[in-house]
Amino acid sequence: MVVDCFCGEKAVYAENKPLCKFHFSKWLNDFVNERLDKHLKETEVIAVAVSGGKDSTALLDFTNKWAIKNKKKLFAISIDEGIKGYKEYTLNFLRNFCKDNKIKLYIHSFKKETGKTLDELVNIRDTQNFSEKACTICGIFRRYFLNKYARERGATKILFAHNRDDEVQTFIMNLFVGNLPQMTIKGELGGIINHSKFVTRLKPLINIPEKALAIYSLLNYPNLPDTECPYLNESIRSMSRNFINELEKRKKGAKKNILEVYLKEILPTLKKNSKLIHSNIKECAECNEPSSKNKCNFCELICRFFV
Amino acid sequence: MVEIEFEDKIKNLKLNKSKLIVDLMVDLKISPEAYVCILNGNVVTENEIVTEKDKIKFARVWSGG
Repeated sequence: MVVDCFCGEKAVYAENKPLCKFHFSKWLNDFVNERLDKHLKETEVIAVAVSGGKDSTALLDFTNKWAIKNKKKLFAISIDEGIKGYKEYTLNFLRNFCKDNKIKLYIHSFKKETGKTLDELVNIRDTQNFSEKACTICGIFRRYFLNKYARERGATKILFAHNRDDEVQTFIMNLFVGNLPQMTIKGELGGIINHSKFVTRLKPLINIPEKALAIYSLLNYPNLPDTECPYLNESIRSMSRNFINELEKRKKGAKKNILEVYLKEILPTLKKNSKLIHSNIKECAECNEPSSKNKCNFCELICRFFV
Repeated sequence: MVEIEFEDKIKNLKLNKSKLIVDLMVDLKISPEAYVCILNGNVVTENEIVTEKDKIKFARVWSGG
């Protein structure tokens, strides 16, 4: 049952129809360019959030080529969480990738910004018996710095490399924990958009299967490090990932169907009725960054971990 | 023998006849959703056939966190 691409070459990818390396890359490039054309034509300064992993490297590569063609300013922004044995490899790859492609890269570290690395914060958590998962601390800090520094550098859109699997996993995770407000700010064009201090988030890869991006990176970035975050087993994302992969195995097309129903049916209704989107976003009393509460999540964590 | 690399481990498997990679993955309980197949150094789909003396690597789809 060997199925080749329509051009006769060996297929490397076959979710819908079999595609060879050339036609697979063309399909992916065309798809992403169409999303960038739709959402970035009016944007002058674009920030791309990058980790040095496969998805964000591919997104940075696609967007950089698009920005050159469309004469837009672009910079990459990355956060060094301070995770020993993990982050140094991905950041090293990222620095080289940006240098080779003449992309301005800004790296902000937890250590420099807060005085502590994520490893040190997790150590505090363990000694103080705090309940926060490493991913919760990391996520709050990362989103805070990405938004703040993208805005301060003039970006009006920040791009994230969330793929189809990520989005379905997040949807399922928010269902697990009953977090309806978080669901309302997801989607291709997300974040809270009714406050000038929030940079609008764009996720152009939201309809691309993770496997397609893994194949693209294997074909195009052979030096990309294959490292795994040591805190991975703390997250419920891995549970969600296994769950939806099992679903997909039993019911082909499950991921695509879940995402379609979520984006086309559930999300518009949630957005229409969302208290989070329609409430007045304040500025945090401590740091003046936007927040739905008097004190933002970042400052709440800082108070807990640094007092 | 087919050389199989999976999650940093290498093992050799005797094949009596050629086999579709997707069937091999079922035997090894490897989800096609979660792994990319690299047959003799080339990215291929699970619909390729694996035969004796081939080297196959299953590369994890997800990375990072």
